[in-house]
Amino acid sequence: MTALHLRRAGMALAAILLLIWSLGPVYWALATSLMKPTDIAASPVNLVPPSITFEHYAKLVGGLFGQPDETGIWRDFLRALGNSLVLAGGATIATTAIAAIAAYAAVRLEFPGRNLVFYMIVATLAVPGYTVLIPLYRMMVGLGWVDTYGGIILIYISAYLPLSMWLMRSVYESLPLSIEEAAFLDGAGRLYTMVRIVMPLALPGLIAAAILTFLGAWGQFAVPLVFAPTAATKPLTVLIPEFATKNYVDYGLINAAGVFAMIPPALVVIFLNRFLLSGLMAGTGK
Amino acid sequence: MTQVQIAQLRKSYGHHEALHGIDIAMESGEFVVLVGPSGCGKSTLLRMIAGLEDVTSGAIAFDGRVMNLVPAKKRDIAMVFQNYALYPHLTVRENMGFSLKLRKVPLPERNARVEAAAESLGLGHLLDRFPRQLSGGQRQRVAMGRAVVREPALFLFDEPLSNLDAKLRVQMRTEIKQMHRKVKATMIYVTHDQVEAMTMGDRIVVMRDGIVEQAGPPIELYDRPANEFVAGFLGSPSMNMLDAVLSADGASAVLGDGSHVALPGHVEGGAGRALRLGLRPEDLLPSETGIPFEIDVIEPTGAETIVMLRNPAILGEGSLCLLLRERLPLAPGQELRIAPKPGAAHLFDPGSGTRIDPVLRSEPLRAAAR
Ligand SMILES: Nc1ncnc2c1ncn2[C@@H]1O[C@H](COP(=O)(O)OP(=O)(O)OP(=O)(O)O)[C@@H](O)[C@H]1O
Ligand SMILES: [Mg+2]
Repeated sequence: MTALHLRRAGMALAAILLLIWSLGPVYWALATSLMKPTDIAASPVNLVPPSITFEHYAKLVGGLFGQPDETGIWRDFLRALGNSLVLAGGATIATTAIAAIAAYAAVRLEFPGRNLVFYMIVATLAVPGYTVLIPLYRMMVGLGWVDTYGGIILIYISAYLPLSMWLMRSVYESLPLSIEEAAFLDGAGRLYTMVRIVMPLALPGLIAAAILTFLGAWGQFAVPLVFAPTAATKPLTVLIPEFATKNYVDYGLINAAGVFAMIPPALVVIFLNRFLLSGLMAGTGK
Repeated sequence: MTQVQIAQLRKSYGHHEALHGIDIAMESGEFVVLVGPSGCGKSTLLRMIAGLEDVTSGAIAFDGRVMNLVPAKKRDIAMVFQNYALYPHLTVRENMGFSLKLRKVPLPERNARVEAAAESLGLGHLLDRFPRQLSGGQRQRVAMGRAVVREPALFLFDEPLSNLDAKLRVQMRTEIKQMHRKVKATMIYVTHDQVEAMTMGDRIVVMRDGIVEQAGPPIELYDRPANEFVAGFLGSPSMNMLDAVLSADGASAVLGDGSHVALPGHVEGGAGRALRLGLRPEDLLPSETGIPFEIDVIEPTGAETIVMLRNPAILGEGSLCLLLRERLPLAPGQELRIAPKPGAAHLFDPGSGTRIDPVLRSEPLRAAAR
């Protein structure tokens, strides 16, 4: 064995360890969700389900397919899934759109105090969310926005906009100004140039901002715990822990719900990732 | 076809003034080259003409109409950028047709115009490629094509050839000139390459540090540079500059070793007036009776030979450059006697650097000319 082989083997081992580290919990959730409650509780623990059951999944979505439903859990679950999608989706679209426009203004438009405004928005990144939770709650109660989609999405926007703006600003700064100037001389206005020239070139950045926002909003727990008290807006992150009651922790159900909750972010990443084409900028100059 | 008048144009970035009052008038259909060393304000001036930079003071007018406040998109100008600035996500066809689409030219006509322009630039087979799939030279042509398709009143070029290799540069130089002859539009071309300036311009504007040093036809600038800077900037190898003093009769320059160089006329100022004597390398000829120098370096280029000469009494640490058209049996260390061609000497004032024109001595002749 040469040193090169050794290095290859070492790298492969590291990759495998990393894979186990990150995918282990996912496997564990999937395996548990497919086990009978007795197998879950068995000692020593079962690493592989001794027998497969779909009873937990049936509890969550069986009602949809006309199965008898004793608990009513499926209604709560689907409602929460819908809420999660609306909240995360709404926050993603709004945040990305605002960041796209605001960061462009911060980079390309000359106006007094533009850097001040930008840095003030980005500085809010440094404020820990929990420190503003209570004052924010009083404000939202005052406005009657607690337990509304709009109110919660607004909070998500304020939480994720700074990061997206920061990202988009560096994306715009990396685009050669001369491309936009060429468009002006070709007879295009600011808006047309932005929509037809700048946005397509900034697409990878927009996608990255959208992914980050969606993942962040999808996993949000503290904000909906406070601001989404009822089934009207309660998302999965708040509902799933409620499956653990004082007397009984339904591991199977929790993990089955967890597996469902993994699907949308996984789809978003897989789908949007395809647009993260690298080398889109190649060929402008030289 | 547009006349461009620029009057007392100034540009400041904060407290830093980049252009200090530029005056240029360009005829309709003229090919004007802006040339000067890096940082002299060529791009700034060009971008102001394009409407990409605000005017601090002064005026830019097209055909007598002041354009200072007209936005870039309404100026009917095409510009070829140094980095080409192609739209990377659009095909060659879309790149070239972008401006026509914006002006709502119907698709069939748009296609016809794009294809005609592409054909004349040898891009016919590349229309459906993206810029990233083209070589540097092809991208350069697309950038030109994008400008030509529009049939604008005014073309601006900002060092369009500086990213190409030497051979392609010479070829594109010719093609741009041919294009100019064909479309007959006014063109303003920025370069810091004096060869490009000399070969391409109907008129050259030499700039330095935000001012115009001299403007005129290339040969006129070459033969009668208004100051030492223009003299040194145009021509390659550049003009030799020697310190000299005026002789007692005002008719010759005396070099450091006491030898005389005859002047084409009479210069005021009396004996001992300090002068800068400019001699172009091609105006120096070997001569039995010339001034003695020692050969330092010989650089044959094939067609001609560049010889660097030394003579501490005349040149101090510097050297004198000589351009020979014929091949002589020379070797470093040898003595070579040279003499300037009659009438080839340029004189400049050492303080201001401005040209000194010797007055013709033959008074009767001048009287007859009047
Ligand atoms: N946006 C800007 N802000 C501040 N100063 C600037 C700006 N653009 C140009 N300048 C200054 O103006 C002067 C002229 O610059 P310009 O780009 O016109 O030079 P140039 O002649 O085109 O040089 P080069 O041959 O290197 O392209 C320089 O001193 C430069 O530093
Ligand atoms: Mg420049």
